[in-house]
Amino acid sequence: MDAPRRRPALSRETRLLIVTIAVSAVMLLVLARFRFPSDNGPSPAAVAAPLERLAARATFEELAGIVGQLDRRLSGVTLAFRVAGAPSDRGSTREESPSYVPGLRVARDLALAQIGEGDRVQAVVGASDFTPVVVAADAVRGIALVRVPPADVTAPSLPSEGAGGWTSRYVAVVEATRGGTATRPVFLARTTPMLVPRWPQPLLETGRTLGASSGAFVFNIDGTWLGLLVADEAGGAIVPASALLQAVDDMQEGRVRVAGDVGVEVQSLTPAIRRATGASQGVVVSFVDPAGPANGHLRVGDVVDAIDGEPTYSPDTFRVRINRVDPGASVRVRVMRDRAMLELPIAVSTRAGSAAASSGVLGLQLRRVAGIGSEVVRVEARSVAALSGLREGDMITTAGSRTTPAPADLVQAWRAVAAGAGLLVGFERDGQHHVTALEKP
Amino acid sequence: MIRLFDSAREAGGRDPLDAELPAPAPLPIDWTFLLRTRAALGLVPITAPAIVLVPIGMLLGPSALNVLSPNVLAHLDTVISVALAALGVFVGLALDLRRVADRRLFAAASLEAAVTVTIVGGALVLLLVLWHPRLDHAPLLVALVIGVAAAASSAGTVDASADERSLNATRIADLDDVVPILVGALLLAAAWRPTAGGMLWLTLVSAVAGLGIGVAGWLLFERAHGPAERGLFVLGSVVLLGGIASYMALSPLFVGLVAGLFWTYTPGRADQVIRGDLQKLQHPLVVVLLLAAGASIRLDTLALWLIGPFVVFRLAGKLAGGWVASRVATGLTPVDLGALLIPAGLLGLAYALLFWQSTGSPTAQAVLTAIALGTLANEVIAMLVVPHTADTAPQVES
Repeated sequence: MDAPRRRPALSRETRLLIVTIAVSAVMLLVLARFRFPSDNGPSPAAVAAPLERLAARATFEELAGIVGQLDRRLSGVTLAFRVAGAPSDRGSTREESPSYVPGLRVARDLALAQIGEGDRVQAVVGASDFTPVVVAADAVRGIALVRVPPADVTAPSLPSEGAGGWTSRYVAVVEATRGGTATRPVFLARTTPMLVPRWPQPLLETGRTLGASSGAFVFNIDGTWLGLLVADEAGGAIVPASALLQAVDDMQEGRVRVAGDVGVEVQSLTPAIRRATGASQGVVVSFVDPAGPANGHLRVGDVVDAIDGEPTYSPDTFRVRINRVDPGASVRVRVMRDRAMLELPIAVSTRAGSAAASSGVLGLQLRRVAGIGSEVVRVEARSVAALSGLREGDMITTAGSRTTPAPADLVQAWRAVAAGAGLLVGFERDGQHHVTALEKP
Repeated sequence: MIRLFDSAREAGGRDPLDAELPAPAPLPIDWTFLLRTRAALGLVPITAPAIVLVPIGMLLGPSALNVLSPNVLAHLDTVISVALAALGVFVGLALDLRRVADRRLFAAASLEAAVTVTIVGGALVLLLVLWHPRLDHAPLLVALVIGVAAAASSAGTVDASADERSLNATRIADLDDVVPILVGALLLAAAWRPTAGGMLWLTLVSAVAGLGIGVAGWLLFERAHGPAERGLFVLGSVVLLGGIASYMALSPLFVGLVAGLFWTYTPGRADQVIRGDLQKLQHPLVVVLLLAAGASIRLDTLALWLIGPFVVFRLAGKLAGGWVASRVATGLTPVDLGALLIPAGLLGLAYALLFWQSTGSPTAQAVLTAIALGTLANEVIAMLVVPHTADTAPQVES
């Protein structure tokens, strides 16, 4: 006789449920202790590489579609700045013709951009009611962190590979325009690692093959951030994203390298100056700061041919070569003077103007012109006056409520301005009258 | 003796594709077994088309043969949108709640889906916050998208041979798609408009679009002079649903659901007309959908990390949801409801594809990959866990 089958206390369904919930709870506890393997996000393909080798190459139309999609993805991450700059050696200013520089968000309200010394960030394209502020700058590397309207976007991930050289590929370049940022595909044919003193990692020299402007951000077409395109004598190079992030950390933590300075301003050679000096290359000294270390060594009219044996092709090259030198060190400057070549040792000091703006230094040298006002003789780089757009030769005709101000009147009016306020200054330039504001930090 | 293609062992009976195929053959297995979407190889009981078509899509996709290249997939976007709208219409047509029993089943199904969304979404948001991977969207949004995709269950087609237990399970599997579609539409709107107002506005626009096309389609069907003309109108209406949803960045599933709901409650035979005509399109659209989902798969680190939690927590969610639902709707739902709902079916995959198509972000692609592969894993688990009809006589646990 069969014994009656005992019905289990718990149904199959309930038993299954209990087991599954127990397994889930254990799995949750175990997985919660794991660390996600890559800080660089989900981009690196984990398994697909062997299959991808079999895949057909993308067509141009597909590439356009991919870059279009990438442009949409990067729209919140990248932004465009309108920048006005100090007078250039070509005599034109960005004040007259503002340029547009792309920026890349590295934090919710901070963007990285290539902003040169003396450049002034006027606005973020598309956010005209927000005033961007440069919160930290690295004058040696020519980059800055700019406060931007906050937005919750995810910073782009970095490629998994190192910076030791890349194979030929299509990349996406983000540039700035009047209407915002624009992304376009570019074929990156050649990348040669190149050591540059101001960067801790080798830059990827691209020559002129990239055809993009300096300051553009470069991405892989899968959206990973490759770096920043910078201009050099050879055409262009990409600063790897990892080096830029290190520079961002340095700027945020105040570890920015102090730029060297010799208290000299230079300009490019013109054919007339070449004929007058007999120099074939270099830059001509246009001003020597009487308080600077070059005073007594260099003089106006000298043509600087090389610094420490490295040729100086342009004012930018001269500035970079001097900035790279640590303050306190000495450089050998080769100059052409009176058609003879000299080599002069000059001790490099710290940059006087680098902290001028933040400390509220007016940075003006003025000359009294009776019955008219004060003529600007010199403007210190990155000073309050420089940031306001004043430059040598301007004739200041009003300062606040004072008309035809003498230099002492201007200084007195500036001292009376409270922190955070501004002094309106009227001036004449090239026969036209303008007004600007000297803002006290 | 192993019985292949035993329809009695399928929850919900044979599906229409099985019905169209030749009579089941005894061993040895004939070549048509590959086309049978259920009961293939005698495994109990549900083998979804995803298990065959998603791997084929992977093989044809950009990661392998590149037959379905990114360009081709981009051209398929609107077709996929139409397929999603058709799925939404089917769910809407199934939502006939005029009988009390159906309303109780709908409540049970919605509860089961809500429990699944909560368990899967909750577990994943916890993991994503702890793991801290780089995401293109908020962790809560990503977790809820996965939860919504997990909540959908495979809906077998009811045929006369099925027992009441299977009929109810199938009906619940149909009805538990409604909550994911509604929540999914809100999440999709949240991805586009992160504010509460913008989210509700987009959802309202979706409902109005679905209703408008539903009314327009109904007016056309009623005036059709013959089956061919009527079929054309049905096709046009569904294409319009998908096209408008695609153009306006709305959820075609939700737009289709609203239209299907309207046709269900409209006086006349609109729902039967649509169902009959749409069934002719159903399989081609499903094939396109699954191939596109397979081709969009990309195995990256995040996807690999999401597959395991998706499978395990979905299993827990379905079993817990079924357990709760069968106690709320006693007398109607079968025992082992949760186990019967383990097969993931199509809708979750469709929603993941929609999320990827709408946002285009790498995170959405990782989510789609995890859900596609997790769906395959769920199908395999279903073979092992889902009880045989013969083993458990129709019973209701008191």
